[in-house]
Amino acid sequence: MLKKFLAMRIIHLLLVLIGISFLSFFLANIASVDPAEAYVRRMSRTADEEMIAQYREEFGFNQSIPRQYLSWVKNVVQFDFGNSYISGRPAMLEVVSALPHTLALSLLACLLILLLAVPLGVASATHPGRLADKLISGFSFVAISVPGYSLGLLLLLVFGVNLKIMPVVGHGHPLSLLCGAVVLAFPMIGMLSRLLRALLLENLNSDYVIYAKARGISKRNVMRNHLLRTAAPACITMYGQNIGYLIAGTAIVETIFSTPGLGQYALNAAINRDFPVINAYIVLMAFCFILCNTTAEIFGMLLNPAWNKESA
Amino acid sequence: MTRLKVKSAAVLGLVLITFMVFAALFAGVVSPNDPMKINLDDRFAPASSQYPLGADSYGRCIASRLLHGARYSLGIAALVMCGIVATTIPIGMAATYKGGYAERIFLWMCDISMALPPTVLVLAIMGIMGNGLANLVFSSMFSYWGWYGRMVRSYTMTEMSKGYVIYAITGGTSPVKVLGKHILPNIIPGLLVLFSLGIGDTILMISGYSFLGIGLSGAVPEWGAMLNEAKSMLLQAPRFAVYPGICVFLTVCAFNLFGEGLRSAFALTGKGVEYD
Amino acid sequence: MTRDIVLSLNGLSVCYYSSDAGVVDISFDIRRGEVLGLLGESGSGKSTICKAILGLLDNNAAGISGSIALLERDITTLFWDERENINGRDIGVILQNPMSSFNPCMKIKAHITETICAHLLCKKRDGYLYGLELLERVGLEDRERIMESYPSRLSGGMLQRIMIAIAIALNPVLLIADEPTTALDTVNQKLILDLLAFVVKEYRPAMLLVSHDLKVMSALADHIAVMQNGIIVETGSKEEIIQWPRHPFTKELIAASRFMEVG
Repeated sequence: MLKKFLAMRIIHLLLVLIGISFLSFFLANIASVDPAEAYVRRMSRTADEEMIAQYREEFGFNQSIPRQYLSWVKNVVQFDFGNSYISGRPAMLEVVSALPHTLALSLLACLLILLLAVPLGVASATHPGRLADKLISGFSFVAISVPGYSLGLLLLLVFGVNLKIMPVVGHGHPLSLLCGAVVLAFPMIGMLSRLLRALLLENLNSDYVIYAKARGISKRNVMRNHLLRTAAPACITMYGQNIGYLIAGTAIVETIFSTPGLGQYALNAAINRDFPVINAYIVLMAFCFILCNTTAEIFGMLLNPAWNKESA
Repeated sequence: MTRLKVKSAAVLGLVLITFMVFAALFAGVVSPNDPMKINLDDRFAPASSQYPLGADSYGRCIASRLLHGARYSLGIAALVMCGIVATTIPIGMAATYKGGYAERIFLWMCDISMALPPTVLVLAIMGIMGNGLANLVFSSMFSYWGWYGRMVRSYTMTEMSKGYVIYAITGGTSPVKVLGKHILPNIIPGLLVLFSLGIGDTILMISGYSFLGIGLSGAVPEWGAMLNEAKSMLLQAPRFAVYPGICVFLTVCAFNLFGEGLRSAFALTGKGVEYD
Repeated sequence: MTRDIVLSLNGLSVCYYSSDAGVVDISFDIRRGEVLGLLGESGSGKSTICKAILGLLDNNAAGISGSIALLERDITTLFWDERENINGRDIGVILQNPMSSFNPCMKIKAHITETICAHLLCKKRDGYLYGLELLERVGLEDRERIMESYPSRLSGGMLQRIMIAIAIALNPVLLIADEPTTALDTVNQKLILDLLAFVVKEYRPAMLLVSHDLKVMSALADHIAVMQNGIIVETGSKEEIIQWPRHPFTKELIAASRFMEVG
C-alpha cells in the first residue's frame, strides 16, 4: 500500500517537474529580453553584434527551441544549470550554498511553531469561551493578519533601535536569528493553534469521548489519548505542507534582519534576471516542497489507522 | 449569543472594508496633499495641520501617501482575486463536470501551480519576464490559481453527488443549466468565504513583494513599498515604520473578520463550508 | 435491607437551559442483583438520567436539582472528572452505539488497558492479560487478534461484547446499559441479551437498563419504570407492567409492541 503510494508520488513529482521546466523554458523564450544580449551587455560595456552573435552560438541560443529544450533537460539531469550570469559560478552550486542560513531560520521557526501552537490550541480548547480562550483566539486572529515585514520592522525597532541589544544592520547575532524565526513562525502559529482548537472542540462531543469519560478516564488522558490523537493527522498534514512555505518565504525576513540566505539570493537573481540561477532555484524549491508535502502526507497516513495493515 | 457575535464581527469587518474602499476610491479628493510631491524643505516634518501625519524623508505628506496607498494595495489585490475568480470558477466547474481528460488536465495545471510556494513562483516569473506591475499581477494570479481551482473542484464535486443534481441531469437538463442554475448558487457561499479570506492573504502577499522591491517602482505610495523606505530610515524616524503596517493590518483584519463572519453565518444556517 | 440499595434517585430534576427537554422529579431505587428498566420513547429523558448519573451533564447547559446517591454517597454534583474512581470502577457502562464509542485511532487493547490502568495500579502488560481473560468471559474467540484490532475492523456485535467486558472489568456495583441492543441485528440482539442476563446472574450488580424495546425489557428487567416526556408515569414489576398496564401511555406501548410482534 505504502509502496504504491510512494511510486505514484514519484511519478507525480516527475510530471510536475516536467510541467515546471516547460513553464520556465517557455517564459524565458517569450521574455522581452534576448538572454544572449542581456548576458553580453552585463559582461562588457561595449557590446556589438559580433559579440552577441558569438555568445549566442556558444550558448546555443540559435538552435531551434525543441533542441534547446532537450539540451537543457540533458544538462539538468546532471545538475548542470549553467553558470550564473552575475558570478559566473555554477548556478546550482550557488543556490545550494545559500541554503544553510535559510534552513537554520526555517528549522528554528518550525520548532517555535510546535512549541507554541500546540499548548495554545490545547489551552484554548480546554476552557472554550473563557478568558484564556478569548485571548488566544484574538492572538491567533492577529497573527494571521499581521504582515510579516511589519512585525519584523517592529522587532528590529524595539530590540535594535530602542533597546540596542541587536544590530540593525549586519548578521550573526543570535537575536537576529531568533527574531527572524519568530516573524516566520508567527502566522503559522496562529493558523495551527486555530486548527487544533477547532478539531479538539469538534471532537469534544463525539461518542468515543463520552465513552471515555464514562469509563473514568482522567481529563488529562482524555485530552492526550483521545482528542489530540484524532486531531493529530490533520494538524501534521498542515504543518508539513507549511514547512515548504517556510523554507521558501524567508526573503522578507532575510531582508529585514540582514541574514544572508536563499531568499535574498533568489531575490537578487530575480531582479538581475539571472536565468540559470532562477532555473536552479525553481527546481530545487520544487523538489524541497514536494518532499516536505509527501513526507507530511505519509505521516498523516501512518497515523490514520484505516491505512494500517489489515488485522482481520 | 453566537449569532450576535458572528453578526458584529462580520459587520465590523464590512465597515472597515467600506472605509478602506472609500479611502481608495476617493483618495484623490480626501487627501490633504499630493502624495508624490517632493518638498525638500519639509523633510521629516512633524504632524501639523498641513501634514496630518507629518512628512517623510522626501517631504511628502504621509497621510496622503497612506490614502493613495489604499488604491494600490486594495486595487492590485482585487485585480488578482477577480482574475482568479473569473477563471477558476468557469474552468473548474466545467472540468469537474466533464470529468475524464478535461478534469485530469485541469488537476495537472492546478498541481503545477501548487507545486511551488507562491513566493518562489513569483520570484521566478518576475525574474524571467521582468519587473513590472502586469507581471506581478499575472504571477500572483498564477501562484494561487491552483489552490482555488482545487477548492472549486471539491465544492463542485460535493454538489454533483447530491440528489437534486443527479435528478436534473437524468431529467435531461443541459449541462450549462445544471452548472449555472443548480450547482453554482450552492457553491457560492463557500467560495465567497474563501475569496474574502483570500483577498486578505493577497494583500499581505502583494505588499510583501512591494516591500522586497518587486513589481512596483520606487516612488509609488504602496504600503509595502513605503515600509521598504522606512527600513532605511529606521534610526532617524522610527515612526515611518508604524503607519503603513497599521494600514495593512487593519485592511487584512477587515477582510478576515468579514470572511470569518460569513463562514460562521453560513455554518449557522446550515450551508456547510469546508474548513480548509 | 437498605444496605442492598446501590443506586438511589430522589426527586432528580434536570432542566436544560436552551430546550424543553429534561426530566422532572425522578425517584427510584435499585438493589443489588436487580434490573430496573427505563422504558420510553426517544426524547423521554432516559439518556438525560444516565448522563446525570455519570456526571456528564454540562453545567452551563443544564441545571440539576434533587439527589443521586451511589451506595449512599451523594454524587449529584460530582462532574465526571471529579469522581476519582466512580466512573469505570463502581459504575460500568454499556452504550448504544458501539461502532462510534470506540476511538477509531486506538486499538482495542489500548481501550482496555486504558480503563484498567486508570483505576488499578498495574502495568499495561497486566492490564492486557486481564483483558484477554475478560474477552473470554464474554465469549469471544480469537482474543489476541481482537486485542490488536482497530475498532473499524470489528462487527457491532463483537464491539458490544467488548463493551460489556470493559464494563464488568472492575466488578462494578452498578451497570448502566443504554439501549444495548438497538444498533444490532436480531441474532446479535439475542446473544447480547443472554450475555447481559448471565452477567447479572453471575456478578450480581445493580443494573439500570434503558430501552424503548419491550422485548429487551421482558428479557432482562425485574422492575420497569415507564417514562414519557420527562416524568415517570408508571412503575411496577415486569409482570405488572406488561400484563396489567394502568397508565394510558403504558397501555399504548404494550399494545403497539404486541401488534408489531404478531404482524
